[in-house]
Amino acid sequence: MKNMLLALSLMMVPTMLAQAQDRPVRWRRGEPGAQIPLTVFHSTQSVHLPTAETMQQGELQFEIWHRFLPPISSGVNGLWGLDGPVNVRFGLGYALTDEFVFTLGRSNVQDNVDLQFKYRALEIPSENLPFLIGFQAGVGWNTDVAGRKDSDSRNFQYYGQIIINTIIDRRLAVGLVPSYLNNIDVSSAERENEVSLGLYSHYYASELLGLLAEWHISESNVSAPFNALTLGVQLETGGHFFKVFVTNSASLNPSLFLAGAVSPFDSDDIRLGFNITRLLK
Amino acid sequence: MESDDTLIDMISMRATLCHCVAFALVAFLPGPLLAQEYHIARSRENRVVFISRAPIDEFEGITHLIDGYAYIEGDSGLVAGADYTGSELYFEVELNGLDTGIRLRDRQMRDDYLETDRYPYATYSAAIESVELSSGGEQTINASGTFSVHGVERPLQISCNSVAAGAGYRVRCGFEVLLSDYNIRRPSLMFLKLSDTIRLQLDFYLKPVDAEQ
Repeated sequence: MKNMLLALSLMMVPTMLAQAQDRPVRWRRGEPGAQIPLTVFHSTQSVHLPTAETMQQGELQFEIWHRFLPPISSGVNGLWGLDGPVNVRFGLGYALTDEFVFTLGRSNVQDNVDLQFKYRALEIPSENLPFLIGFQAGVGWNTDVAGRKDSDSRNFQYYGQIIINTIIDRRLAVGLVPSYLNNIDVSSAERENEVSLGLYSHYYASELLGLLAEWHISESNVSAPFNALTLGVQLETGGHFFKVFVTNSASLNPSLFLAGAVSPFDSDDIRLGFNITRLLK
Repeated sequence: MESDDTLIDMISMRATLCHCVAFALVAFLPGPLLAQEYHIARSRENRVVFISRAPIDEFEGITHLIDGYAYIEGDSGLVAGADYTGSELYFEVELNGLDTGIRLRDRQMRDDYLETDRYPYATYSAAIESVELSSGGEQTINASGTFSVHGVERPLQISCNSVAAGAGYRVRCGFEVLLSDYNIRRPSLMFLKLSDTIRLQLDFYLKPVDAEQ
């Protein structure tokens, strides 16, 4: 019996020595507490189409968009279109919450005023293929339609969009935006509806530079029979996004853009444009 | 005669058993008896501020996600003039929690500069060298150790002020680090907006371990 107890004691010695050499501190790291919002597209817009990204609660975003009307083919005499004239849109967005943003914009095309609401609805995190889903709805009020009062109900357009975004390898972001537009052509006596599909992609070549492409497939209609294609680059510096591109669409506000492009994407019809957004707080 | 031998054996066995139990008790007691451990109370309003003052822009990154401990040898707690040999201070800040007020900038800080997917914490591990009495009933803790961020460790001496708060302490520290010392690059187009010198201000509460349990 005595020998057995002695043996037991000896067996315990290595365990005790190991414990004695441990740090006496009892603190241990807990679970990480940070909640990082999923980022797919860095910007809240592709070019004409929305991404599911929103701003942080309380942030303001100022938007300046230009589409130069003379095509690039106007050459050096028209400074490749930069001499103008130009379609312009100004917009101001405000984030009521981290998920909900509303934006008020105005362009000089039919003096269109637009009010849009975007909701960042769902994050599906994944190491390889995360998804971010959002919704956008808005109204466009065209206040300068020939032969009508501003308040004529035919001057209003309504639209809704589902925004599906994903990113591959943290470099190649892809977006799919099915859209519905009520009242395609405000100059027409009839209200017609349209379903369209937007596809866009950004390749983030560096922290500063990205390449972008956007294709909007719309039903052919008399006033705007062509699909809109846009190709360009994006510069990202702090709270600014600068997007410079060529496009066959001269429309700016969502309700006018969704109707389609007036001219095809060919060498005689593509024009320069840029979008600048600036975050304010 | 035989019963005497049995009695002696029993007495001897009891003595051995007592020794074993005493040995085991001493060996398994958690840590030295004369030491106090304090943990950062995560439920309190702790605050860590990273301040960048560049020529054309100034901003702060704020997080409440700080954790760590103070291990004080002896039973006197933080008292000026005591011997702090063997006493330690450790804290870590979860960098993914940094909020600069602009989500876009937060993402850029995380992804492009701090690379938090690889280096999620800034840590400071130090020996407490001394505690001195300072004005207003506060005490100054002098510590010397290693600050680590972005995978780079460098020696750093800091001084923190502490004041009694309940059964524990409220601790406030301030020190500066250079981003270039820790291989944290600054964006070429933003270099005027992000200072190389970042000032850190920490304000956290320590609670005795037993008070947390």
